[in-house]
Amino acid sequence: MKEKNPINFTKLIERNIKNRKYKDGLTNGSTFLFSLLCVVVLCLVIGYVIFTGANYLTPGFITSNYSQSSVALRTSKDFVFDENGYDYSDLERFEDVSYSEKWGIGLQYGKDNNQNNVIYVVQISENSPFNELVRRDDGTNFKIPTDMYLSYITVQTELGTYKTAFSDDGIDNMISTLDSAVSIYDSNFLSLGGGISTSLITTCWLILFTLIFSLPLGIGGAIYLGYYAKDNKVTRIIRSLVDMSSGIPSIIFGLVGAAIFIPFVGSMTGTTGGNIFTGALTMTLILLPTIVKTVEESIKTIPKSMISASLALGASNTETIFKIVLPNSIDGILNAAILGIGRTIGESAALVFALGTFITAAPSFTSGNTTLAVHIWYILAGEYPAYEQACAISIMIFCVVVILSLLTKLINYLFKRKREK
Amino acid sequence: MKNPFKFKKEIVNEKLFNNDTSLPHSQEYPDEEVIFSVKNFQFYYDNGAKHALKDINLEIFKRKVTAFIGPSGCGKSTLLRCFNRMNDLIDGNKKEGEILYKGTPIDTLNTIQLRSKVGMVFQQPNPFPMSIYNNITYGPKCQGLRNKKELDKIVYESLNDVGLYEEVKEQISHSGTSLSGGQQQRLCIARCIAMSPDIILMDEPTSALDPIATLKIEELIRKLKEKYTIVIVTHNMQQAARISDYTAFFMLGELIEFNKTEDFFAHPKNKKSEDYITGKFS
Amino acid sequence: MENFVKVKTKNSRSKRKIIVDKIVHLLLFFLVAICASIIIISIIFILIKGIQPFVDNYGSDGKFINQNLGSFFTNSTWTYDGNGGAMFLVLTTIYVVLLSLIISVPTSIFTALFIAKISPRGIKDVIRTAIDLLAAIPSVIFGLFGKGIINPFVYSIAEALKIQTFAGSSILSGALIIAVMSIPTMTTLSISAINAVDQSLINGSLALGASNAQTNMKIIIRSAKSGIFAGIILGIGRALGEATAIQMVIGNSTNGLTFYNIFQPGSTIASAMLSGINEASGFGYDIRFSLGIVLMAVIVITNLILTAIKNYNRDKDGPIRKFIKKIGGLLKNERKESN
Repeated sequence: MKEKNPINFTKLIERNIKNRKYKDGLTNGSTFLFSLLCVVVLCLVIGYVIFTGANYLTPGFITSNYSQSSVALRTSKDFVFDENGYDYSDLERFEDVSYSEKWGIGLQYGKDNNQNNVIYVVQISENSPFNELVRRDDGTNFKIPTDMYLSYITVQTELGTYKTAFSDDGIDNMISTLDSAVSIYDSNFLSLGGGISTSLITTCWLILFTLIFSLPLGIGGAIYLGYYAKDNKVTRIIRSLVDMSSGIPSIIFGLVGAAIFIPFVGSMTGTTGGNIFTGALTMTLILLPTIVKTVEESIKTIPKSMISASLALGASNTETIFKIVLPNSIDGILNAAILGIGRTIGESAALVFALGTFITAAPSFTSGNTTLAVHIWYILAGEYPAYEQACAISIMIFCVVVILSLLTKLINYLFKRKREK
Repeated sequence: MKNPFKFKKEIVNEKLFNNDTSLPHSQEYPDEEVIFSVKNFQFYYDNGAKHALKDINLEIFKRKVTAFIGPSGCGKSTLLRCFNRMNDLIDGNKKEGEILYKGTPIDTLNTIQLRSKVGMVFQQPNPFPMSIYNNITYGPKCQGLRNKKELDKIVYESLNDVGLYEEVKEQISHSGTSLSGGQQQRLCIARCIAMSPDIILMDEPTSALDPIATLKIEELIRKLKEKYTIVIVTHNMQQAARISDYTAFFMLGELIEFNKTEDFFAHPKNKKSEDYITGKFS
Repeated sequence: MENFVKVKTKNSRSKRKIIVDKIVHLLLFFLVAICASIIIISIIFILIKGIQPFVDNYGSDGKFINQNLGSFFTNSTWTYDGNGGAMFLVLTTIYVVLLSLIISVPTSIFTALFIAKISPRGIKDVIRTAIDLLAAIPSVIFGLFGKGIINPFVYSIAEALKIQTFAGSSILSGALIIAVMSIPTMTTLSISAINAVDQSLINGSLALGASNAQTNMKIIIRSAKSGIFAGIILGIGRALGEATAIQMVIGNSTNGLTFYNIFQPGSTIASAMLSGINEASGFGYDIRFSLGIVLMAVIVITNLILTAIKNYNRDKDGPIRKFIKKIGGLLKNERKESN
């Protein structure tokens, strides 16, 4: 063997070892920085949403309607203020409530959904003339609702002139105006607008119907693929079709929903345009591939011996499916349902087409509605995007998403432990 | 757990690069120069739960082929991987005693330096998924060698040394994984030689190959020992008898016998060795 | 499996069982057939509805309005008067996605490498969870984030560079948001690709004296490249079809190509489908189905091309390589002949 002239690695290695520290640090550090970027982006998203929206996420925001309703009240036309005064002794006194001694009502500051100060009538004495206010439009008696705030009040003074006090001018001004009054000429009560109650309820209904439509279909398909299907051409085609439909963007499914389900549901129930059912059917299209895959995977983890044993004991295929396959794939079914809920809450593009963007006063099964995600899209689409409200809704969605992903982890952990036992 | 941000202080020992450094002679075999000496070496896996090597004392001689034989699970591969500190990669390893490389404890050496001087060939041929040329220049390039001429020279010489040059000179830019099993293994040996190491550790290099490829590798080993020290782990006693100068027999983590190969197979000193050779257990 | 129940028995209960079995089998097959036919039905309906604007008359009062096929492919402005051109939407879509890849691909690969090979356990779990959460955030929240953070950010950059922007609504913002949204998909697939790299290759590299970092960069990424590429293909597919988030940040300008300036607003296919949907009716609504066809076509063609590229490197004698060799051979022959 020829003695080769070995290249002297000594210097190279020596230098390399010196440089290695820095080079390796640089490469490892850069991978770390890139990972950090992901975390930073996540923190930015969460931080932005929470800092902008947290103050706006109030019970009033969740329970009130998007559209504002108002009611105008006055004292009846034949009302005369009793000069002897009224007995307001039944009125309990609180420190943070301001009282009009003349009219026997207590006023307090509250917040509307834009975080502005507004005035609520929180207490009314039994003998107060405020109990006898009538609506300006039809003259019927109207009890002042506690969830509406007083936006302005116009009174007639002893001199016969009219005086108006606005909510923005503060409680003291309101009370001095009231104390100078002999009758209420006009008062305007407004409900909290800009809320999300309808969208919230619609979202819940949509989730329910989506699960009702998609789970039986998806589980059935998964049982066929995981239990019955032999490895032949038909099965392969079915599998690849299901795989392909998971790659279709949701906006396309929105179009499909608009093209198929809106006319279909319309012809069945006489509705026009999108409603909860068309939305749920469209979500079913989006979710089916995921559900089929998730459940099938969990069916595949059932030991073959267990199924064979069931069949060998004389159980039919149907009995085996219901007594062995389904109970043992319950974790897959739960995971599929959770995935479905998460997707339904977050879905926007498809539902814009299939459900509509109309934020209505009350949830309805027959007309256009909207979910929380589309609500966000809608209130940001206008000329004056309502970032705060959008962020407040996002916090809710985000909480649900986090809870769902924790649930998935919990389910996987519990079932893994059960299997290991 | 490895920490990417923590750097162990490692020294470069220039003496080790010098091939002319005179090595101490073995006391037992005065003709031989000792390149590796293992002293009272213990090795544990799983944080001490599994005692894989028990009190090993052994010497590896320069430009000789040493074969490690023994039943599977006897610790021969573990010892082999200790020579170039590949066992450091396993979590929960623990070692006692020391291994000296040219008189220096290997734990004080930089792993780059150690591994560039102590090459290793694995059981399964593992060419990188890149061209044959890049496979061979991978090691030198990692050490920062960029000179095209020198790289070409290294590729030619290494391929020539393992007898692969004539076979693959047309497809030097093809992927290394496209070669046959035996060629892949020789490529791995060439890759090793490209670093001009002192020692080549071979971990059952022929167990995944067919008989003809095995024969070629054995031929190659006989040729390589003129220049390199070779330590080979093998399952195959005949192979050990054919190619090695010294044989170490391991059982259950203990070194049972170390002797010249002819003596070992002709007159085993130990009863256990005799049983193993005669096939009473395997 | 069925052999067990095919045992002949006179017991009427067993007979009933067999009949029930057959019914259940058929029913389940019917359900799976529905699942599988979704995609076919969807495509058929979108095709029918999407061709309508080219054929039907949408005008009233004697006016004739339908989509002009020629201008659909050539016009560089998207309008709802029958002369809109969708080609520039296609180009902008691809442009935005390519821009986003500049950020998302290195980020995903390095993040995956960090999670799979470098990171200590504690940090690894944190980043893994962050990636999972990022994947779970709905696109409308990304849109909100884009509108609230990325647009002002792009605006301030443009201010500093003295470039005009439309309040930050721009192609750059769109690319940034798409990049953020495709990182989780790409990272997750890259992690599994990297974890699948054979340990023997890693050992081989380390035994040659390469450092961990060198092994990561030269061996692991190279060996995992086909899996990483599959992740990128999936991410691109998602990015092409993304509608809500991008519609909220890109500015939805419908006139012309603005490739030379990434600070200009633009419009992708999906964003054009979504923007102005509230007021759309008749022609303006139905033309969105035509855009749906275009979007599907773009996604399918992109996927085919990328898969072909992926297979090109893998199959030594794949059809494409053969084709290219053939062409190369023909060219060589021609050159010889001309010489």
